[in-house]
Amino acid sequence: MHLHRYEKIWLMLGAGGLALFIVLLCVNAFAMGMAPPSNMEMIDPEKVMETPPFDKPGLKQVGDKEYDAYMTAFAFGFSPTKMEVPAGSTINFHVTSPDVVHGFQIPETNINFMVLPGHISSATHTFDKPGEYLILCNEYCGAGHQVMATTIIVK
Amino acid sequence: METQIDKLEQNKKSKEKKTQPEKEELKGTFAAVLIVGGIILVGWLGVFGLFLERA
Amino acid sequence: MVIARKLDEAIPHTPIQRSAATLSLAYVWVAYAAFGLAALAGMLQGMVRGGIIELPSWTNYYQILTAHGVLMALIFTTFFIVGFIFSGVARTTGGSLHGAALKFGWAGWILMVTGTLMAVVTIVMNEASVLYTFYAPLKASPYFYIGSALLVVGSWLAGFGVFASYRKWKKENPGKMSPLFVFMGVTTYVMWIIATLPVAVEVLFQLIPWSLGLVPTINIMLSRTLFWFFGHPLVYFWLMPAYMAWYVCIPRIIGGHVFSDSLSRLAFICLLLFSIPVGFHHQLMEPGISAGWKMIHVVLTLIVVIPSLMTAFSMFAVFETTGRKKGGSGLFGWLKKLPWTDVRFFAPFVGMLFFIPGGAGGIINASNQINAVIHNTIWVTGHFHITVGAAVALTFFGVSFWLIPALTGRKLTKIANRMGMVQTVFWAVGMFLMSLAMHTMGLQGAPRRTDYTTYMDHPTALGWMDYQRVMAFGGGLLFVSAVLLILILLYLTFYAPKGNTEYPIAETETKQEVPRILERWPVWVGLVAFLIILAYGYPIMEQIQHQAPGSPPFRTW
Repeated sequence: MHLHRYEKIWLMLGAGGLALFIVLLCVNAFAMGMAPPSNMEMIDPEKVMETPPFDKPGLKQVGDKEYDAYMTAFAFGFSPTKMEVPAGSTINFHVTSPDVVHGFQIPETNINFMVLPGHISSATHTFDKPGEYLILCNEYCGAGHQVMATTIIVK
Repeated sequence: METQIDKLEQNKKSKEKKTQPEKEELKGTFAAVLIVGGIILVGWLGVFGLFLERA
Repeated sequence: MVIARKLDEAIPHTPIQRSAATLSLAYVWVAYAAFGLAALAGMLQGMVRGGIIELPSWTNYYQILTAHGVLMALIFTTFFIVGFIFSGVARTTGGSLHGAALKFGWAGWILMVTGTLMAVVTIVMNEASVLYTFYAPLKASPYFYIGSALLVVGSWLAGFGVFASYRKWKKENPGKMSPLFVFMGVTTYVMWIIATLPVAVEVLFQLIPWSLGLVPTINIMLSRTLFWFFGHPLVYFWLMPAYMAWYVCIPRIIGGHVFSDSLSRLAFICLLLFSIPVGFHHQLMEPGISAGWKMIHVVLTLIVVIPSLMTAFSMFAVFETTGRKKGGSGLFGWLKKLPWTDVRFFAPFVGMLFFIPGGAGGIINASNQINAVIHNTIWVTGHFHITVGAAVALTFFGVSFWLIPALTGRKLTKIANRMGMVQTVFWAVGMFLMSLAMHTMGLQGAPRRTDYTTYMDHPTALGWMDYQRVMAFGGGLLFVSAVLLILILLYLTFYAPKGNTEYPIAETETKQEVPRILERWPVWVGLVAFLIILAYGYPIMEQIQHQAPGSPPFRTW
């Protein structure tokens, strides 16, 4: 099979570029701890309302500027709804669903994950800038999907 | 009478003649794919940068 | 062989025999019927999200979205692809299809149409507003899933028809490499059949029993993994026939030759190998799959970029060598020598241009943690509209302009050609505006698959409004283009003057030796199996052995 010299160069550059992407992604994911949310914990979706800590969704302060947020995503809302933290706070989100698959996204941040019944999703974000952040569901979950949202106030 | 060596030289000459115009013939292709590669690279680094900035 | 009758132009091959032509047309016209309905649905969606109209109470956004997705991404595409491949196999193996191929072809058509009708009825009755990905535990009517299963099995029968033609040709031409179109068609179907096995398992063994109430709960993680095991190669099932038109038909249309027989086949083998073991890049933001396995799939995904890089080079190379032969000089002077006013070239070429940002976006989407920036935002919708909705669709439209008259024994008239150019421009401008808005909004967090909303006038959501209006405008242009397309194709089917339209198949300029190993299917299918076991064996075993408690059905619409 004859490969023209320019095609050889092009494919080597292409493969090299892709390899560069892989190296950058691996370093960033595994050495800098920014791998995608991949929590392996499980829960019985039919018993979410009675399984701690999801039986009492809410913010729990666990450090000077660190909080655990135990949340449920359901058709069609999130719980809890009124969350407020001071600027510079780090929130560890832990979310599950008692019904269908939902999404959990905070626009303009990297918080963006699926919420699967039977599984607990976890992700962390440090809210440096004050403001009222929108949390929305970005996976179709039924007739009320477009109203499924809440906010976090960062003072 | 054509010897093996004559034949080899003939082949080499025709190969050289082929590779010169061959390279000329695909300069535009090479430029075009490099542009495509550039678009891929810039786009990827841009979104990666956005990702790092939002962390 | 020249047939003794009035020919306006002597075309260098016999037309496709009636029986094969009818089969191909039957598939192509179902495709366009679905396309027309889906285009209407798409326009309505754009207008709703743009805040221009409100839907009447007897329908809802998600029902329309389900119709649009199913009809465009599953029905239009599959039917066109099956019809196109049958026609090209006939064309390149002597002009006809034999008994076995025709029987498989018609059996496939009947099953596929039946399945489509079942699914469409359930969608119209609002019993299947689950979108084309039908994620559990949203539960549609069992007839929706049964219809989907019939659609898939029907497509397998069509594939068996192509395999039968291939075997017959190989027997009659011992020791020869198969015609390029046939080879690519066979590769596409091999990939398709392997790729649809997991979704068939999901539908037959999980969704149908669960939706009938025979089992109380469903393993959601497994159902999603099986779906996306299918869902990624699905996009290559769309792309490979477009590549077939680019590699085999376009060079002939512009007066050139196939650039490299071997490299074209090699690209298709690479697509077969690496388009399947990569599904986790659609599940990067899900719990239940480890970061390690996600990265493995990402690496395999980036490898599948390479055959497309090869294709880009081949395409430009064909254009350049042909353009230079016609007198083009300088670095890009050959561009001017290409037949810009021939819609058979122009439409697919515009499609190729769209594939540049389309492919670039795809690489970004699959890049592991970077996916968090755009997952489930409307950027993703922008991405697949410029890939399947532009690169693939415009190629299919461009093919249809000559395929339909070639099959119906009519001429592609100058008027039809000019209207086709106009239709292409409307499509391109509409898609450009709409997808630009979608990509930009998506980066700002605007979600996909969502009805009109301002999230209670939240400033972030209000910031998307302008883009949503641009999106609606683009969608309107697309609808105009769709209507124009259907009218042109109706003309070419029933009203254009009788005559001969060429079915363009290019050859290489000189005889090229092709490594025999490229056609040794046991090697490649064996390799695919190995890669699949590598990428999916352990994760799927884990998802079965260590599964979360299952979910009962929900109907939340």
